[in-house]
Amino acid sequence: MVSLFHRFNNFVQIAPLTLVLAVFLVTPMTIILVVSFYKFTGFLTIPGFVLENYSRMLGQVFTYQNYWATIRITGITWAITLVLGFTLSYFFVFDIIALRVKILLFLLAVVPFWTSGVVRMISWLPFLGREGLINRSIIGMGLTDQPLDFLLFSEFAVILSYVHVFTLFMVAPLFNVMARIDRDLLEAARDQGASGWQILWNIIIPMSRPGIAIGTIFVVALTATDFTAVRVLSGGKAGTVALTIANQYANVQHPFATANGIVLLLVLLVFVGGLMRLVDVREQL
Amino acid sequence: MSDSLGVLLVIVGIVAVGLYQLVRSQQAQGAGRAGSMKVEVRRTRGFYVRTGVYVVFLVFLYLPILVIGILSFQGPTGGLTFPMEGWSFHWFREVFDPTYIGDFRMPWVRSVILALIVMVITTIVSFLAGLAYRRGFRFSGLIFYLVVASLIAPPFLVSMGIGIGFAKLGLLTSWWTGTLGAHLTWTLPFGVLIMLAIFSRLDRSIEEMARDQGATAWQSMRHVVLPIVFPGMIAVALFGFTLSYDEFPRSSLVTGDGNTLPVEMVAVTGTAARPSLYAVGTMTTVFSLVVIFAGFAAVYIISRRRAGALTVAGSVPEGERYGKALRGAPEQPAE
Amino acid sequence: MSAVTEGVVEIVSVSKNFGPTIAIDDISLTIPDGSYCCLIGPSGCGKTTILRMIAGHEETTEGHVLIGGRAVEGLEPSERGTAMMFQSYALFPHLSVADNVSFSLKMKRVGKDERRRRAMEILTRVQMDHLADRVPQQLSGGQQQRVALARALITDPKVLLLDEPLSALDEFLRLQMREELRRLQADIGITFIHVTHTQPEALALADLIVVMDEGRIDQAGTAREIFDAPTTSYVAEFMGGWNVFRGEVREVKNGTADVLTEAGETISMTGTSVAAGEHIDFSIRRDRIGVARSNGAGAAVVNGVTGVVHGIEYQGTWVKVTMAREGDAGLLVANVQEADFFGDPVAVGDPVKANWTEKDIHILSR
Repeated sequence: MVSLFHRFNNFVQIAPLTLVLAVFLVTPMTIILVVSFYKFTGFLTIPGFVLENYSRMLGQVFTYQNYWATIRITGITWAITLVLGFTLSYFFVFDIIALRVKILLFLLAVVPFWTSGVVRMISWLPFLGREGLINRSIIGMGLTDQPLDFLLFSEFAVILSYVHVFTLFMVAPLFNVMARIDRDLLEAARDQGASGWQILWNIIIPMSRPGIAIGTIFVVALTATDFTAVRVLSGGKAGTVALTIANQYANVQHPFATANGIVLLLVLLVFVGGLMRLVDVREQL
Repeated sequence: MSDSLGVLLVIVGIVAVGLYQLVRSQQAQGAGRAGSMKVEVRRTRGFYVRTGVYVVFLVFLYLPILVIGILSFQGPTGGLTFPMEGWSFHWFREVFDPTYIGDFRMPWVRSVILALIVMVITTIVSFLAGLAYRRGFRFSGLIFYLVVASLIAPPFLVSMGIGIGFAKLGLLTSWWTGTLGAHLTWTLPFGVLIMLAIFSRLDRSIEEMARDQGATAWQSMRHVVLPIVFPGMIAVALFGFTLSYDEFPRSSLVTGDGNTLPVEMVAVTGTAARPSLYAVGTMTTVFSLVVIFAGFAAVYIISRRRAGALTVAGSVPEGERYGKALRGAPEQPAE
Repeated sequence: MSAVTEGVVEIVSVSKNFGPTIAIDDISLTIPDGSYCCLIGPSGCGKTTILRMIAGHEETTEGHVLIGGRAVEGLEPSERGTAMMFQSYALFPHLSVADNVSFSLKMKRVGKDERRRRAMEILTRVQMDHLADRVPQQLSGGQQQRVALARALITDPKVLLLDEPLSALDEFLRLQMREELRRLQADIGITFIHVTHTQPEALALADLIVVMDEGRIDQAGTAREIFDAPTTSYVAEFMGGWNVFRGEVREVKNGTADVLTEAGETISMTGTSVAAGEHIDFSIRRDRIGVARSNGAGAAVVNGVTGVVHGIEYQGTWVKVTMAREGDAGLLVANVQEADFFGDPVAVGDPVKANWTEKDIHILSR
């Protein structure tokens, strides 16, 4: 009788979460999946089951250009956030001893991430434009004659914005993992003749792998699926998958948008699944 | 070169120097303590490089926000970038008394109310889920993967799905139905993961001891578990509020007629951006900072009252290490 | 400088400060080549700090450390000819046992096959070769310790530094490993410096015991010297096995000195050449005290005290009798031979007198 009470208790406890996820995640995704097989006549979406949305998409060069752009942008963003995040993490964990200072410096770097990402993205506009702050400064200082065009309405701006907004997602898990590295291990490595770089490469980085994996999952998922920065900061020039999906939806081409979306989701799940297999993520909790 | 740039650089310079001094003061202290061992710090060249990276990163983070903060005070005839045509509150006024498209007042109210609702729901649901995981249940693995999936799923797709779903049901999406659900798919993963982490560090024997002392399950929950877990719940509440308040992509298609603030801001950016957008941006940033500060203050005050160790939500308490053997046995005097 | 003295460790007027705290206060010590030296003392006495300064994980504030006659200031830990075994073992969790052991070779860019060969060689020596491909988490505490030992020894050090190596082991394993360490040291012949807070351990293992307190060396000597002839009351009390008395000589009459102890009792002793007015610290070994029933209180004794039995602990070959001295003067502990005790066993509460001979009175310097 006790176990029945507990089983009911458990059920009540996990029901809300399950309910929300079922209604607002699973169902919408299923709907998307279903709609992706609907027929599109050029104007209307008709319920049915056709594969041509997918075949059309996979047959277009445009699709692969999209994916290449997405991979390129995501990849560069990931690389930059990884190096930057790792360095910052290292700084917090190993360079700063006093706990108070550590917390202060960490908070200083983290607080901006709790403000609106939209605002932060917009805040690059006055910087990067032709009339923007950077161009005015370098022209004013006499470094160049012409304003740098690539600063705004380019992939550069998009990547810059992503790094600005997403680096925290790399820093946090890395910090978490690095802080748990037993300092004795570093000393033992030194005792064994390891130089600073060798310690980094042979001890710290391997032991940080779970953090790197989690950070990567976050950054990749956030970057590959974002279209706002692409639209605003690149003027739509950087043709990523996410942007295409958003455009297709805006053009009421639902079957195309959803088919595209399903493929993107699958690619993402495969990537994340693969990473999670390499690293036991649950342990990190 | 505009003089506003000069002002900006001075501010940045002061902050950067101040931080650098703060970090350098570490060196003057000399040694610190790591656990029970006294550890000396070796200030290698790498340290200075990394400090430099940190300072540059801070500037990188704060400068854009500072810039639009300054531009919010743009003169009435001024444009979206420098130079500053005088200083005024004109654009702030326009936010509160809009004549052009882009009324931010109602969106802000909606965002705040929605964020509060999301905050409450997220905290409660995450807490319950944490309890459930503590005891273990069937399909716990599946639910966990769903939670992670919710985190990485393309937010735009979620929005699309909800939008289409509602349409099929003949319902109109609005900010407090579809958007609420969309926000929850974003905040709940964070809340649940944080609660899982906190609960996993909660020693079971504490509850057992309470039961031993005659507490019922409910009393044990109220007087033992809840107080210990409470700071973490505030962290979850904070996450819930700010994540919802700032959320954009998930909300973008399901707000219906009434936009939330981020949705409204993006809409305006694309079409009729004016410095009033900066003014809104500045104000909402200040608002966020106030909320965060209040949250941290709450955690701090509660922790201080407990006279326990101070921990920051999401960071690792000092002293947790991997790979440690048992520490030494107590002294044994010879006979 | 011949090869024989490569493992000599000389500590010359070394001090160590951590900010305002003085951890080591002007210590000088010579540890002979090939000896087994134990640094013993309570937590915070500085023994681990000394070890770390020899290792190079800590630098001296003042003074010099010489290893094999060579000053080692500024040298990296791996350049000093020392190897350290950490209290927590500090095995790399992401590497196998073999990779852990051959880590130092990898740092020197030794080839993979050579590394494997040498790792297996040393693992065989510590009987861990069959677990070469396991990961540290899969090993027991004792096994981890052997791996840590192997990892230290593979660097061919002249001095092996052990930081409380046996503290994390259970009793049985501790005694076993103690023997193995001793045998290993005799086998390899290098200098072992072993930090511990366990007295029997130091007595069992060391050629040279260094008793430390608050950053200073109280006494350094062989095990017998330390145990049987402690020079200070601190050493006597710390190493155990003694009852320590501190007091002032009141009167000397016919070769009998009356000492008023700090505790307020008067003890009469013979055979010592002290004068009235002198301060005197002395101690009596616990196993040199005879305990007998007394037939009433107040009977004056020479070279003894009277009191009441406070506690009795059977320890197999001996019985620990704790006695409450008269006049609330504190406790006296006597380790009575089993046969002697059970000849006329006393019980808690019985009035007794404790006696010793004059040659068992050991004078301490302070």
